[in-house]
Amino acid sequence: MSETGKKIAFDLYSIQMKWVAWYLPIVYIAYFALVWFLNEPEIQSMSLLTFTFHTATIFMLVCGILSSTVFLPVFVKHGVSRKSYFQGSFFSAISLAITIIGVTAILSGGLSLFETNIFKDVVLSSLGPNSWLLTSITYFISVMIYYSVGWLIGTAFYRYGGPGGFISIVVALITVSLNDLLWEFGTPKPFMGLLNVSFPAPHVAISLAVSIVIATISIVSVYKIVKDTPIKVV
Amino acid sequence: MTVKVEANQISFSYKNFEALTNIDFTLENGKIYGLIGRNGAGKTSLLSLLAAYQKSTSGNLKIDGENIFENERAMAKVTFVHQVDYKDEYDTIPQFFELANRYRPTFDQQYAEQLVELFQLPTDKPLKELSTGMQSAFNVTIGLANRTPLTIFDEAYQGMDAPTREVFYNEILEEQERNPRLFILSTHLVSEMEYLFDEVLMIDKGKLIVKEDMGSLLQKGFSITGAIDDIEQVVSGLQVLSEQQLGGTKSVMVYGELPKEKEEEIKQKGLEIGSVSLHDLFIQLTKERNKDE
Repeated sequence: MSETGKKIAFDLYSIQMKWVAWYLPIVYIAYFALVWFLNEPEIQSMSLLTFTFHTATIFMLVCGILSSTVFLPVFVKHGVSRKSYFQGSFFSAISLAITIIGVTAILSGGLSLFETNIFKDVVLSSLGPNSWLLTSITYFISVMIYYSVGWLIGTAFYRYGGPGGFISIVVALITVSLNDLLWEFGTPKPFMGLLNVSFPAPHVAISLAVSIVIATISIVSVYKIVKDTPIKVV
Repeated sequence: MTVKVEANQISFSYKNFEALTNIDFTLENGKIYGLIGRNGAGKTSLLSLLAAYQKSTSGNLKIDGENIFENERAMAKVTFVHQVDYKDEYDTIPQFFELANRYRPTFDQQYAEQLVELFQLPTDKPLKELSTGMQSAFNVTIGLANRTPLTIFDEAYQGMDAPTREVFYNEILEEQERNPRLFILSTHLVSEMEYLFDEVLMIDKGKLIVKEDMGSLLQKGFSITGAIDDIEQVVSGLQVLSEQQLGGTKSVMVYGELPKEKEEEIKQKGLEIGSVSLHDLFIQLTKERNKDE
């Protein structure tokens, strides 16, 4: 990675962490409030990590959309190449996902040590009660997929305007739906909900491999669009 | 600081529209270039290519021998100042200076602060609350204080009142004395800014029609006034840009080198030769091409 890329990664991470400093506490408060007051079995059995993961998908999607629409022009105007911007944005997203999932996993681990009535029905994730590492890794990859499709949408709208942007939304919906089919995490999947497609979730190793491939394809697609995107003179 | 910009057969198209066709030029350090052309002539397209905002469709565009597009070494040498929409910008001027400080190695914070005082810009308000003229003055501040070897101002004066524009022009000249670099000033205010130019690049319909030293360009354009018959004899074979007639007197604007025999003929007939301004030449040279088509 270039020196400029590292600088951008650090700066974008710092900016997005300011948003995280608002977002995470709000999500945590919402989780405790819901678990405390709502007598819903689905909520009662949901871990803090899983609850945060569901909201983190949308948070990362928005961060991805903003990356190219807001930051790309700013950096190119300051003499930064698109490649360095891409590297910076990519590594800032990885750091952001690790921070969100990591901090929440540690906090969830801490909560699981308390034997209180409130958390007695909590199950870590659909991957099993003690699958801390596997759950964290799959959640990390999934939120990265959401970031990359947000990035794709933002980049496509910036470069191609409305028609290209709408195509990218369709591609994004298919991508995230496909990922959810692999894991059955219950993340937003508008298409599959309509079509009522369902098949048994594949073996974890296959799901993991396919998810990594999906994330890689999405991110490479973003680079292909970004690398010679014209910057608007406005 | 040495900088040389070379364009070799640059063409640029978008959405099936050819914005620039086979542009060739070499620009050198220490000079102020005036880029003039009518609306939609291709000025901003050309400047976008220089700033690596866009990639040319064909041809080479180099700074100090290196291609510009996606080349960080070359991109770091260019600042492109243009109108920016700040309607959603909550950051203040000092926050923008921090960004410039971080990504522009040549940015001079002290000079930027001096310019803020000179333009009387408020540093505590978000940019969205500044008037258009103040936003333009802020853009100019960044452009000057970045001190990149190639600094481009694309109609950077928009919304500025006359005294502020004067401060801007003076600052370009003073900065050129202190830290000589290559300036490109794209403008519609030709008569107001022509005293700044060392050389002129004139673009019309995507083609570079003039690239001349300011002095020799002005020498190429002149007016001849006298009796209608005499004028008509003299101007045959010359490139006449415009003509005016009042009673028996005719005045023509001519462009190009004047052959010795024509000079003699003018003297013999006692015709009057006058100078023309860059503003007039610009109007007539770009109008002439319209007539041809």
